[in-house]
Amino acid sequence: MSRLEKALDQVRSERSTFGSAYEIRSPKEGGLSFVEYKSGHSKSGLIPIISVGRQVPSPADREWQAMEEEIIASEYLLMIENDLEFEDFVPYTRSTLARATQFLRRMMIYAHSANVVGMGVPRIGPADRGSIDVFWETQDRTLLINFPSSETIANYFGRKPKSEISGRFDPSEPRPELLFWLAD
Amino acid sequence: MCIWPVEEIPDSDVLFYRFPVGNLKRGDDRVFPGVFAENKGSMSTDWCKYSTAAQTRSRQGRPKRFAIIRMVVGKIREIDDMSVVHSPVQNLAGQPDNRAHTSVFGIEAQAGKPVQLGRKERIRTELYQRFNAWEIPPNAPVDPA
Repeated sequence: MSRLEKALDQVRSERSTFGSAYEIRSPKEGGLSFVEYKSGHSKSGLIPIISVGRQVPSPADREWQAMEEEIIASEYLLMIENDLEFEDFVPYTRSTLARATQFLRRMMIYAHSANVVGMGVPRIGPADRGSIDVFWETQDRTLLINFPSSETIANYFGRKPKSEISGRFDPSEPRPELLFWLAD
Repeated sequence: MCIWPVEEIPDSDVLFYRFPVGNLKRGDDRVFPGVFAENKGSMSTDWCKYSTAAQTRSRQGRPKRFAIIRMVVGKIREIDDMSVVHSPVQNLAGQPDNRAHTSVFGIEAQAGKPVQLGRKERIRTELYQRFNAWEIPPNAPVDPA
């Protein structure tokens, strides 16, 4: 029998005889909490419980969190009213917003699965005729994706040094090429 | 009928563009590309020769509802397909007379021209990159003058 097996066997036997071998000792002593360890009748000890700092979120986690916050904040679009300023005004609908935000989530999931960090967090804002913009802007690049209210495709234009991209796509699938274009 | 003549606007002059602050996200007053949009076929602006920014803000009443962007005419014209035309309004039902009124064309593609994918997004990006600061910011006090 190995030493570990012996130790486990001993703990099992003590538990069956004396109950749990561990007991939280309270109140706190000197700012620390302790677990009292009783081993049989004679041995006992105090094991301090040390507070472990919360794990620092990774850049990818922070990016994900910020993106989720932007998505939640974008609900304000559904409350925009015309206020008589624009004859061409079309209300912002939940279905248009969902196309935009679901696409963003697909991109986030793809980025995580591909270990891509640095996509950045876009702004989600209103555009013309009930359409919704998703707009990335970093120091050297912009990418503007527009989700129209009347059709299920999206249009985009991106610019960075020595590179411009534009086109249209079906946002029901992630677009890895846009992700890598943003993050490279 | 309008008796004010249509004038040529120099590239160095400025237009004032009014935008409703109700379209901004609370707590985020930054300009964004969606600010630039046509209404009835053009972007309506006011020429600085006949209007101040504060007058443009007040023209529809309740000026607090609006913020103003300042756009240099030459910077608009340097964008492909964009044009600026003085278009004064006078004696039009439902509209206040406005000698400063100026139309900015080109965000929407003209009928009959070949479709360029992402064209409108490109133009709005170009406008945003040139004019992304407020002349009168959202919720600025209303100028009594």
